[in-house]
Amino acid sequence: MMLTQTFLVCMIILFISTASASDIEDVWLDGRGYNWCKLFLADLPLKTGHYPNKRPVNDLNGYHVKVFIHTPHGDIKKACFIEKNGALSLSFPTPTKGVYIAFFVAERVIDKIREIHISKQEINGDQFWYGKSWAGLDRKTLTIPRLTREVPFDLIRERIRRMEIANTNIWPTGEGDFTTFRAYFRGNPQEGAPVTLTTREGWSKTAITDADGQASLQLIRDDYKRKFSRLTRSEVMVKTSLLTSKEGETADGPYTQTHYRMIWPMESTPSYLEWSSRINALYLFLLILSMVGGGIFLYRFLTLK
Amino acid sequence: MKSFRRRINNVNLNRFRSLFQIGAFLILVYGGYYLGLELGRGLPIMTCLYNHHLYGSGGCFFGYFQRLLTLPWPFYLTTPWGKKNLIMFLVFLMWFLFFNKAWCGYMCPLGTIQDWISKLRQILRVRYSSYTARQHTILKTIKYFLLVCSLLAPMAIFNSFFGLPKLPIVWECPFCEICPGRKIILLFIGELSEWHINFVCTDTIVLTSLGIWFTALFLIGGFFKKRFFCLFCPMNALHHLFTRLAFLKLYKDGSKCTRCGNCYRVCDAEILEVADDVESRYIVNDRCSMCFKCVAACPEEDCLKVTFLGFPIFNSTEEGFIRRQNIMLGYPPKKRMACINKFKKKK
Amino acid sequence: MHKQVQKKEINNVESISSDRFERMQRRTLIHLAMEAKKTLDEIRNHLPAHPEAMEYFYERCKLFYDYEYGNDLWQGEKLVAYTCIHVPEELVRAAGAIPVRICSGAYSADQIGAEFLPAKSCPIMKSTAGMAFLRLFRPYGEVVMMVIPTTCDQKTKFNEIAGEFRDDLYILELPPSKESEESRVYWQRVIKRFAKDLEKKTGQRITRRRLKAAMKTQLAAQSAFREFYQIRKDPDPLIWGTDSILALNIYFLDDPENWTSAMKMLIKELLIRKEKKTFLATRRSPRILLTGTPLIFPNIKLSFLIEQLGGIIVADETCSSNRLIYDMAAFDEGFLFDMVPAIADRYLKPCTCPNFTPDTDRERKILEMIKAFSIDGVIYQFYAGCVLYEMAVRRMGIMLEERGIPMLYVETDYSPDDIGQLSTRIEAFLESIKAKKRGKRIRRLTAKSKLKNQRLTMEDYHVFCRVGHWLYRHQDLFGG
Repeated sequence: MMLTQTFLVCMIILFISTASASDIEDVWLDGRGYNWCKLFLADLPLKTGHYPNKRPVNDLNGYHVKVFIHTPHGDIKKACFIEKNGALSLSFPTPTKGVYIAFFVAERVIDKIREIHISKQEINGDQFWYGKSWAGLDRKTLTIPRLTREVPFDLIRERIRRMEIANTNIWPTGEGDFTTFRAYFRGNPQEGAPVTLTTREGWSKTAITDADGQASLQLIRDDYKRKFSRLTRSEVMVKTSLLTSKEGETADGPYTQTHYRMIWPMESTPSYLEWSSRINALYLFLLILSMVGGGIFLYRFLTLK
Repeated sequence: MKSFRRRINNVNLNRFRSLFQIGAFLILVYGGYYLGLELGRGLPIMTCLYNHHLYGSGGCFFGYFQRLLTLPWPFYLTTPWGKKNLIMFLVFLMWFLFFNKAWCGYMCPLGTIQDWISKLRQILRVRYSSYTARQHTILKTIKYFLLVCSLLAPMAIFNSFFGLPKLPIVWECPFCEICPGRKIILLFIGELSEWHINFVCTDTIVLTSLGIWFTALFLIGGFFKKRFFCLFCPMNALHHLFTRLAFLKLYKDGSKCTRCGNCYRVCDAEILEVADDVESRYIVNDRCSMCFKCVAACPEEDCLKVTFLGFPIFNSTEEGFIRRQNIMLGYPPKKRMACINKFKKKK
Repeated sequence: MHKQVQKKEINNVESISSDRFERMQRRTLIHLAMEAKKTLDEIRNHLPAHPEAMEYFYERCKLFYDYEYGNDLWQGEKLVAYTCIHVPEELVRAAGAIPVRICSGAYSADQIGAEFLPAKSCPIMKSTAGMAFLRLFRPYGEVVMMVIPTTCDQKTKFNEIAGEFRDDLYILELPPSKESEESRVYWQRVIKRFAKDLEKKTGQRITRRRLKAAMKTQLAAQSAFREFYQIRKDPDPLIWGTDSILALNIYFLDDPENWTSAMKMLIKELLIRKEKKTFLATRRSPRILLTGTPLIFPNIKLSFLIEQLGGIIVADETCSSNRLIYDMAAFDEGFLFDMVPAIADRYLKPCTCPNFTPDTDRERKILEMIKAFSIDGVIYQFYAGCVLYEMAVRRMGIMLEERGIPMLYVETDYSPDDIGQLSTRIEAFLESIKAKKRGKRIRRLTAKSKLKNQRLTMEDYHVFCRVGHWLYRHQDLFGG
């Protein structure tokens, strides 16, 4: 009786631990938490769950956590989570213009599998209208998507179609745009990693990276309930994973496989094709030019004294 | 000192002005990226704000001013935001007071573009249009109307005027939507994205269509009339409220004036007061863009004077007038042939 | 022997036989020559120290009035004869014709023209009518057009009267007022039509290049004139007013290039005079501004009289000298649609001719000249029959009295009968100015010597005069 009880308890504990272990799959840095009025401070709370059930995370028990901040000038800074309003959150200053990339890497060994969970968030430093301008700064190097070598498994959004690469990190993905991701493992492009794009409503699409490490996905519009405008933003989750058979030993115990998972929440915006029409503008312009210009020319010609 | 003053008074104003305008255009439209120049957003001319964070070195204060006004009433005085508005306005005044309306005549990129369109018209030998004084009086009201509407609309987003409904957020900068500068100056940096009609809501459809209209009218009007847009520019109206405080001034000595009307003839804005008013001393009209063409065309000695804080800079002189007219009339055929013959002999 | 201009069929009420016409012509020519010679001799002998460059102008005068100088001046050229200063010369030159102003100052022709005009009309018009009737215009070219702007009544009606004996008249419609925009536009359209008619008559199109060349020669003449004008502002007079009036009169009977070079030589000589300090008169001489109806050679009676009697005419505001080429045209774009209206504006807007209403421009100009030239007194002449100038006398008198400038108005005409009466009046006027100047000088000297409270005697006065004169003569010792 005691044996079965302990066995059951162990199973339950295992189950719970595995359950809690599987919970961290869902923890990510929320980029929407920044304080609007504090211009030069990025505030990223740790969240879990999906829309509409997002909830903050209070602890990361059992995980070894490392937090990095990759500044626009290429420095890697270490940081740690602070307790704020009963939840964990990451705060760091963003004094210069450029894109700051914040990572948190949590690792743990479970069942001889080393789970490494990475979450990434890109913050556009000094992005507000009322801040400084780009004068004197090399906009390209400060905003171009870049690899962080301290993180073993990294995913970079290389290109959005129709946009130049310097703006890739500044503007969100538009609906209808093809986005190209490149997966890097220890600094080299990785083949065979599945990249999944999930919209807020639940639509998802997966693509496997090719020999160059690239995977291309097209985002679609999945939400017709809200009235769109140029300023509407929606959330998109990008997930990718990798399983390697590398053996080793850590403080938690030995492991035979390493499972890398990355989760990256992004923003999406309605496609400009939905609300902007250039050809109509051209038609209108040419119409006015011909009518008004021709009218004035005729008037002057007929009333020439 | 005297010979230096003489050289300034004899300057070929048209050439100096064209070169200055080209230089100012390049610096203002491309200077942010290539020179790393940052002049802020308080500039009293129509350099586009949308260019400011791309290639430009300065932003138009009018656009910025409208965005600054999108606050509820109490916020104007109580928050640091509201105080920032006042500081930015003082920055604008500081820029403006130095050069008065010479900003319009020498540095505004839209003005420069209009002058280039006028040169195109001259190449095509098309006659320019002129309006009578009465027509100008009527057209003047449009400028002030645009100024008032552009400044009231952003305020109406968070405040309700007399119980009227509040405007949506797209009215935060109405003049930026209809300004031709946004579309034309961004063409110079290769951005075609502003030439669109925004179908998000009715307000944006109307505003962006008006923007296309105004751009077309800008180009057509600029072709037939010199400095057409300056008749409707609300920044010009804003300038005129403070023009008497500025340091650079244009004075006239009425007793020396023969009312020959040369100044009226060369004036781009067709200001009659420069020629006919012999009583007033300060003759900067609300249409004046202080290009000083009138001073260059006046044949009487010291009749029209440009002073900076009382220190005379550019006076109308007989000698200067004669030199400039000779340049405009070109070399006579004999001299031209003599030059060519001399050149041939050298070869 | 000179060649006679082909005379046309004279359709006159009193038909004159061709014999009689020829006799009249010959007689008038002789009289004209005599008159010119007499005037030139008077100027040369009675007014001393003429600049050498004036010889060119005297010769030119002789050329036009002395018919013994036979020549082929402007032979084969097309001429456009005109009166007044409102006809655009640049357009005429660009159309390939030569503008010749026919306002005449000849007394001999005055008597001929009196036949056509009422007794009380302006002698200029009578003289012009006489010359026009007898076709005595020098030089010998073909007059394609006679342009008479509708300025004063005399000229306006002259258009009809001259229709008796000429058929090449052209009426240039001048607006009676230049204040409104409508008058300006009206005048621009008149000039545009005039340009087109000119092209038709001369057969030469007015192109941009030709107009620019014409404006350039005009500008050269204007700049020479302006330099001359500035020299006359000198406190020490360098040239007689009669000479200046003559030099400027020749402008409308000469090629502008020749005139400009002659003027430049004159200016050079005057500047040398200024350096060497050879002045015509002392600072005691009254500086006179002459205004009113124009003095046209050979009628320089009044200016000659004034200068003989001790005054110096340093400035004049008449349409035969100062008003001619004072104003300069400016345009913005070098195309015909801008240049022709610019020229039209230049001949209308700054014009101080009193036929425009209101005449504030003329008053302001006179005040400005009084200030610039340090004028002591104004002599206002008008011819009997000139309504415009006569009606402006009262206003002018009040305006000048307010400012303390003495004015003398003189009514005269071409006949030499009233010289005696005029000289008395002018002498008295000049003396009063001199006395006033003396008074000022005494007050200045006594103020310096602090003898304000003592009454001066005549001996004191003489001493002061001598001292002052010595100081003046040796001013270089004291730094001028």
